[in-house]
Amino acid sequence: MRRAAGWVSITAAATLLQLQPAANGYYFFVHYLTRSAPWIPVAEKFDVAALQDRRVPFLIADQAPGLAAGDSFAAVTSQIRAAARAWNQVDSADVELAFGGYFTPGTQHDGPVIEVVFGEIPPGLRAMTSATVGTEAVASVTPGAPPFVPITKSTVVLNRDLNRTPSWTQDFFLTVTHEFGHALGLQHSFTSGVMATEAARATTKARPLAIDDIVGLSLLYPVRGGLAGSGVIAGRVTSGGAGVALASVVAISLDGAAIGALTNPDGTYRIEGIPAGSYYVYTHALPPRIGGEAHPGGILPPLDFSARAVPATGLFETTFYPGGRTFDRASPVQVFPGGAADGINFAVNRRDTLPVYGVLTYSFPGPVAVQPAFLAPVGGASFAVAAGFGLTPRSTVAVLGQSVSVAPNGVKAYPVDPRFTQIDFQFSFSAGEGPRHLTFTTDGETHVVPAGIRVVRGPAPSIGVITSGLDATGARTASLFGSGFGLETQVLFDEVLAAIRQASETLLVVTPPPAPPGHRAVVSVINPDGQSSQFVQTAPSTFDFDATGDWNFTVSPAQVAAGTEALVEITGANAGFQAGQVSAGFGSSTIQVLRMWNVGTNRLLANVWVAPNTSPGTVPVTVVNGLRTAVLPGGFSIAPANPRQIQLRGPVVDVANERTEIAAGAVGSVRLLTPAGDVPAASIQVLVSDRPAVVTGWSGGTLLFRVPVGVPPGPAVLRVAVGSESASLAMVVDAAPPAIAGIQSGGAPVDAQRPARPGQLIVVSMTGTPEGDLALNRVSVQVNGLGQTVASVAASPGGHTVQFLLDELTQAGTQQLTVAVDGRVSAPFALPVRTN
Amino acid sequence: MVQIRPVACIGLWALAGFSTTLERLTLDQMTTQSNEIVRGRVTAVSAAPQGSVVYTRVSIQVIERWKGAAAAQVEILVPGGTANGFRQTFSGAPQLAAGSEHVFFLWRGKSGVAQIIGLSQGLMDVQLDPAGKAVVSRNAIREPMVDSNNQPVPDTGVNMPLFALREFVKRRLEVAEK
Repeated sequence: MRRAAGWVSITAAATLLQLQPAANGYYFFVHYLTRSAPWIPVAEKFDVAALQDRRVPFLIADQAPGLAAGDSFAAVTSQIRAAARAWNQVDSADVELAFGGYFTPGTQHDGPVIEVVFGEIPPGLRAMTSATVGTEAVASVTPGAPPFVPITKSTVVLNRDLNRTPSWTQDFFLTVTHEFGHALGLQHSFTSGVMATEAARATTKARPLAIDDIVGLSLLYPVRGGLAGSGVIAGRVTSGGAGVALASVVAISLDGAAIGALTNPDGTYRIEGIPAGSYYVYTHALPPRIGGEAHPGGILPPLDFSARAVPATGLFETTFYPGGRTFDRASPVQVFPGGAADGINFAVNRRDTLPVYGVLTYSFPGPVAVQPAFLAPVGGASFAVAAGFGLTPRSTVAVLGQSVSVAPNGVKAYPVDPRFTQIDFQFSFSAGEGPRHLTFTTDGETHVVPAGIRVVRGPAPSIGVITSGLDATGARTASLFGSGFGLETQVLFDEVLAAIRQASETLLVVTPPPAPPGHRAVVSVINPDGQSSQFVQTAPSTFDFDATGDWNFTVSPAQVAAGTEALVEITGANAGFQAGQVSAGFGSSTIQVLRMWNVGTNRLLANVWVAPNTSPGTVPVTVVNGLRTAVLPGGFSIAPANPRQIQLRGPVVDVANERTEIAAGAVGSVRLLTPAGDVPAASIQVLVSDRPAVVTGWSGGTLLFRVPVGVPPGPAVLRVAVGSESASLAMVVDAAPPAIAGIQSGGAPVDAQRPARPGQLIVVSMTGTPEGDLALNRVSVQVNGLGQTVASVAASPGGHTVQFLLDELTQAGTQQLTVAVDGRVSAPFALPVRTN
Repeated sequence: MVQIRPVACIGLWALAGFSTTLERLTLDQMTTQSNEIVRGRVTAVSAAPQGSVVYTRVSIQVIERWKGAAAAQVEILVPGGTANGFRQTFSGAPQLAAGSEHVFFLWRGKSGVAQIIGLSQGLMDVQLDPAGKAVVSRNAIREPMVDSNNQPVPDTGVNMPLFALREFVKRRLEVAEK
């Protein structure tokens, strides 16, 4: 509902003063609910509470862009999905980007969504993102949750001519990652993370997110305990006693972390989510606006209650806490877990121009510039090339910290191009890997470049030759011969990870992901230090896939009613579904694949959620298998909600331990909705993999059933029928749990005549345990629900022996002993205990 | 189940966050990659959605043309604008007002639609200096310091007399034709 500008109800106004502010500590798109102090920042974000499983669907336009030679739409899709995965790695954020398949631009959406489209973009522009938000700030009724302005749709526009930026390049991947950040509600930052403007970015394909990016997303989409152990730095930036608006305040640690925030219009700021430790804090003005740009720093200024922009105060001298224009005047601030360092205030001096800003660093490990500069004390580059406004060979350059420093007379014109400045570095023996912050000082003004250089142990990895082969089972393998590989090296075919079979410094043997017949994939290797084979190779390494036949698939059922969670089976022909490489989408913002399982190489089971507000009609079905993509246009249709339809709501879990894998013979639980009203348990029929299951409980909409013995482990179909109505979901049947075969203590069996005593070492003989060695952390022992200390686990004929110390507080009598291996809990075993 | 409740209206329109990723273009590149280069005055501005994006259609009365086929009027699209109660804004997209005078470096893709090259890099203000001479200016590009080949490119902005820019474009195009 829209209202006239400036409207606010009395009730709402009264409520505002009691609202928790939006999480500070990052650069969000901010609205203020007032026209003057107190300023209550409200950020734009997706309303995850309104999303299924906190997942924001992203859909990719089905109109493929123009591609460079050797590139493919499948590769573009894989890069976009990989960029989304980069954000999904942030465990401390309560949001996830979910691939929803392809869609036709212009499609009306029933729910929040991110569209990725390919538009006609002129030279000089790589991508752009716009987020449409509602007209009202809303507050969660969850205690402590800040209000927010809900994003209803974000649109990421990529260039529909990718001839000059092939999908396999780091630029393309990081650009999409950056744009997804905007789509979720993050603005540009000034800490060299992926949300920094393109040129100031210090992240790589191997390490796409910096801590500032992670904290930013975690603050915008907080999850309880997500930033546990972090602290706060807060204060105010003033000039002549007046607050400075939109000053950037950054906390940096000498180990490489940099986290920042922007000030409110009154100069107050609050940086949250800072890992405990010692930080130097400085404030700097937003850099001057670029040509034609409306706002400094590429930052959209916050809007006040009247939707008027609250602009930045203007330029001022970079100032380090507690006061001073150079780093040597700075004192560290200690951040403690759960603590707040308040009163970290700055009094800054205004100025008309900035003598130095926008400095970027490069190194040249190969034929292309790599940014930021990667420096290796041994066997690699020891100098960086820098450029920026006001940077000259007369500028003073310094490295924060002790282990790396600028060499004497190490700042000079770059001989190859004197428009640039060369900086020579020297390293102490203690110089470890990781980013280092740089300062550049010109005419008394200091510009800080967080993570301006990255120290690595050796050169970037390089691929020499790739050969194709077959393993003993006839499966395709690829062998990469080169240098700089390691056990943690990752191999990417386009952007799809390949499973590594064998790794050494010079050889990687991998299983290539599924790919279209005859597809030529660009192969890259990336190391944990952030270096990629693309740093040093003139031409990308490629791998040619077999020219095998094409594939297709069908979907069953092909129609589902709105407001339903349903099992959808996807049956492929010549599909070659590879575990871990398959995903599916329905080209809709309100239809989501909640979970999917491979059943062989040509069958998938998917539990699909169709939101109640989904419009009836057809949608396309997209299945991605590695680099293979197939679309079934109009392959799935949505029917109007059926008020008589019984419905299941997953997940299906083991009532004993809440696990989603349930052993045969164990009791499972699922929600059953019977719109016609309560029904007797006797009228409910349950089948698991077509075998009748006994209903063991039915109350309050929760159905309990025993998984029939004999159902093989793996994905299974749960079918529930009430009268003529039925519903199905996929579930997972687990292998049988381990069993306790016997108990001994002191070399003799424990029984009623020889009961166990608290403090004794008890030896449990187990059967049905996984083959091979078991680490201690895979095994747990409980006596009457009380955890015991596991002393050892050893393989034995037919299973394992587990030794544990019986807790001193164990009471006398017959106790229930259970042993769990990998979460699978044994049946209770009677353990007689005597305490005197 | 978490519920939400509205607490305040934040403005007339549904608003939009924004961002862009720019790639540095030199004046030389803008000259050669543009399809049209004109000096002109904005005569009309209107916005309409096209697919997922709102575009502002800008009508320009051509004062002089330095590149491209002759025409007295040019229409261009600029991403962002207000339409159907929604406002979309893109960082770096210029906000053009009727009556303002600029030099436009324009690019037409396969669709034939004209856009400013580099979002705003190809837009230069035309103003009179204190001596009454026409001067074109564009702030230095802060963000993009690498070109399409990932090679560093420094930028110093543009600030020169109109006649000097006209002469630069003319000579650059002559070189390109050879």
